[in-house]
Amino acid sequence: MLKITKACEVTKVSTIIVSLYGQPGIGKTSMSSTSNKSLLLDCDSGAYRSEFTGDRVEVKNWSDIVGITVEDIEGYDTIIIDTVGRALEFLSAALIIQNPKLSKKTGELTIAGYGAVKQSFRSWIGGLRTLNKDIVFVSHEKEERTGDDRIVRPDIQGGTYGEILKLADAMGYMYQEGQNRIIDFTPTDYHIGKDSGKIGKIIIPHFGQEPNFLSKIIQQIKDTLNRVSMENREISQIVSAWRTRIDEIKNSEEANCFLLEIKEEKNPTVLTQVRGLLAKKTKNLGLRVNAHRQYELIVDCPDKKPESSETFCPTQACFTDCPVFTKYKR
Amino acid sequence: MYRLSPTMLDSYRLYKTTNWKSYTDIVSTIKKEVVETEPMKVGRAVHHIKEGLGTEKYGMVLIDGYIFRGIEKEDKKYISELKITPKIQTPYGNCIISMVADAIYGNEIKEYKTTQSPIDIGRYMEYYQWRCYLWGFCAEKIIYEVMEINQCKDGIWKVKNTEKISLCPYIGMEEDIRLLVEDMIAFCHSQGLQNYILE
Repeated sequence: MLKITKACEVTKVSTIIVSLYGQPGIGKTSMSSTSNKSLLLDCDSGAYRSEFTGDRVEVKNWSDIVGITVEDIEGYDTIIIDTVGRALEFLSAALIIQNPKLSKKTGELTIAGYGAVKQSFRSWIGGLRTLNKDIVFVSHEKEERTGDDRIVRPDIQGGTYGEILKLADAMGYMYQEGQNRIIDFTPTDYHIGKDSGKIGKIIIPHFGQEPNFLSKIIQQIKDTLNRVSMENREISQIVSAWRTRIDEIKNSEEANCFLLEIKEEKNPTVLTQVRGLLAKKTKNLGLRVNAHRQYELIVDCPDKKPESSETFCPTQACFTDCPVFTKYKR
Repeated sequence: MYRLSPTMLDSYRLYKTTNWKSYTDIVSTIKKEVVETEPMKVGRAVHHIKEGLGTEKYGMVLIDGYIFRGIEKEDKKYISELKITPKIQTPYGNCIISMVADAIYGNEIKEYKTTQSPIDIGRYMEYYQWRCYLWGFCAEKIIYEVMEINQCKDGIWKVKNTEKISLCPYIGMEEDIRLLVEDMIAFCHSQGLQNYILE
């Protein structure tokens, strides 16, 4: 039977993609293995160095990766690609065997080669995502310099780097700070990051004491994404109701009454949008905020000036003739 | 009170950290003397299509003197072109950050970007524009819909490639914005340009 999600239902985020990168020996493989029921695709042949690695596949070429079947990964919740850079080298080699024109004489990929790698990797990840597993990308770090500035980013070749940036729900940089190992999901001027779970910068514990460290982070990210998704619907409904009322405002009096009403709105996201919509509407009506923070009609008609703090244009004719109003109306 | 825009902040950031913006460029930006270039005009036309403007015929849209194929107007549920002017406190006094979201729905903002070169996702992630928008609109997500467009021999503009980049607020984001705003105000003072950024 066809599973239909009703329009009123919010689609729940059940799987995500996390990207971890950092200095060699910082514990990327170990940390990735603290995810839930993980299977490590060990492309770097470095998993033996980690004392916390779970089940793993020793990858020697790209066919080891694409050869993985649905049955093979049944029972695992998380697939770890360690490292993405090495996996891409396997993929590049496989593509060059298929089409030697994708490489230069020096063995480097041509531009078309990089494009082919990106496309093939994208397809493979697309397929993997349909299997309803969390995916963890592990990468080494790479430092880029622009003048005196430096920025650290995952060491991933060509356009696939952009693909990982786009796909990852969260991206954390691991580094040593004094005695502590740190993971920072915050994007800064010094390193790339993505923090959809609002995790920020945290000290990495000893995995012997926290064997589910990444699993908890992944859960926190999912919870945040689901909360945001729920709130999105609620906020849009509230804003929509306010919007209908704003559309009905016809003059400064109604706008001023509305100003009092929106003071009751407590949600900052709703309030920001309602204020923006009101500003747009009042501008179209030719209103402005005066020194008393009240809306009044902009009247620049040469013949008729408003008396004292009169907020309405004295004659109806003025509405149509006033060039200023006409400008705003447009 | 000072008044800046996310575009000005990003121009200043690029001037500070890269060679893409020269001193002359940043001064022009601050003085608001930037002349609209052809790619900017094409980009604006794409925004207009997204807003639902333009004349549609034979699967093409005519807008602002350009003809486009393959660009659809945005879903009606989005509020388009919403302008806000939040203030941020700095040691120099308050500064208004004037911003207009291309489209907003609930706690999600959409920004349309056009480029005539291959899409560089990392470049968009470095922007301060998304940080400002997420902060100013108190939003939880921003999606950059980046369209790589090119003009065919028949003069029609087509979308060659589209990427959607999703970004979210992070701890310390407001502080990052404040620091850049402070830095830019200090720069304007040091160069005698402060009057150009006053309200």
